Amino acid sequence: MSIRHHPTEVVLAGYASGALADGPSLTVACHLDRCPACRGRVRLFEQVGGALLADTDQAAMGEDALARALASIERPAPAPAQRASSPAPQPISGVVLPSALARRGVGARRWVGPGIWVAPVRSNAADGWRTYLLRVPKGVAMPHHGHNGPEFTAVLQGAFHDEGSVYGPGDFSESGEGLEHHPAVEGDEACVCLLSGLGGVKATGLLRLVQPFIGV
Amino acid sequence: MDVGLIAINWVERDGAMPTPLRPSASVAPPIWVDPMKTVVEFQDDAGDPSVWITTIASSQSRECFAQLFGRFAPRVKSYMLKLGARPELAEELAQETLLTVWRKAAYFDPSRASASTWIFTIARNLRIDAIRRERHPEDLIDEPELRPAETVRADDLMSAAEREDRLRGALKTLPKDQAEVVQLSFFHDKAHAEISTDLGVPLGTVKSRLRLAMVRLRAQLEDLQ
Repeated sequence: MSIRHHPTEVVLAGYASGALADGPSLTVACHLDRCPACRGRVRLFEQVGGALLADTDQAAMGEDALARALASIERPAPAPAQRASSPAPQPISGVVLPSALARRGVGARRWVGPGIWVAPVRSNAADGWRTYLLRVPKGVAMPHHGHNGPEFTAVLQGAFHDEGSVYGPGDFSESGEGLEHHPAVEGDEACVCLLSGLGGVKATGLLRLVQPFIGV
Repeated sequence: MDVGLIAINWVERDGAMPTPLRPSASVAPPIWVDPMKTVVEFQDDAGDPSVWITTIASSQSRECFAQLFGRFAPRVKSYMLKLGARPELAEELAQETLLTVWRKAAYFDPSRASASTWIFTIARNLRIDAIRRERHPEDLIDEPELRPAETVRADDLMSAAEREDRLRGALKTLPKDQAEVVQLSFFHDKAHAEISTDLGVPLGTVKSRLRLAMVRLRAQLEDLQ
């Protein structure tokens, strides 16, 4: 299935400039993994960054800056740092993770309903964004819920439909604060998405009953 | 854009680079240059920074490195300052950026990216790492993340440097309100909401100006190919 839903120019520009938060950047990376057209757009925006850098004004460097730099280049490059504290990434059975995600590491799955699990993704949570994988089996609709803030979604596997559109592998969705909806899995396969959201989910209806247990 | 014509070369963050185009700079015996005796005349905008980087890769030229440092370190520092870095951190990140250029020079492919675009992506990545380190001192920075750095059209006859010249020209032809939003989006540490407050226009207007600018730049570059 070809990709039909792309990040906006604003989101891609934020990714290219480095302004987009860590969690949303991961969802964009998952989309880019499958979307050559958006990779081309990001490249253009990086060229914009390069052009702005070439034309920007200059800040005076310290007096010995060049001497320091020339001394630094004589030293051997340090060995790549090792991550000491992070747990080894767990393979998620049956889900092919884009490399951007696989290298980050995905925490243990928590089953929150029949066939439904969430798994946290290692990301910068200090900025308030919560980033996690969500798996929902075929035939299941998410309970009606609202959003307290923006949320980005990249489909990794399967498909869901929402507000009249179908989202398949590689598709990207951005929802704003205040959206209320109830997406449902489409087709014969479980749907696995990477989500990154700010402000959490506002339970309406049935979700209120289970929200304390699923922690989204 | 014709998707089929785009070839992709994913460049990962430090530690997982693809095969170098040229032998690594660390292979050749170092040539000692006394920093105190290195005389460099900075003729701004004279000389081709792409050539400096490829010369660093092929012969570890300290002279070319000094030229490149003179051209880019003050601009990278300025970029970091505008994005809110403290002066010492901005200076350090400028040092780190140019040091990374030295170490990774063999990966630079002038047919794929101009020198300033390549250096921009290095500076951006180092800044992201620095922010992550400040917020999570327990995290080490070697956490590679996909960053699409270089893509080229197979039929692209325009060199990356030519493209950049044209892009710089196109940036200057943007309507003032669009140019302002592009500049603020890339070079100031401001969320779009904050930009909208500063400019006194609604958030939707900021986003639509940025979108229009990007669409326009893309169209202009594609017309030229």
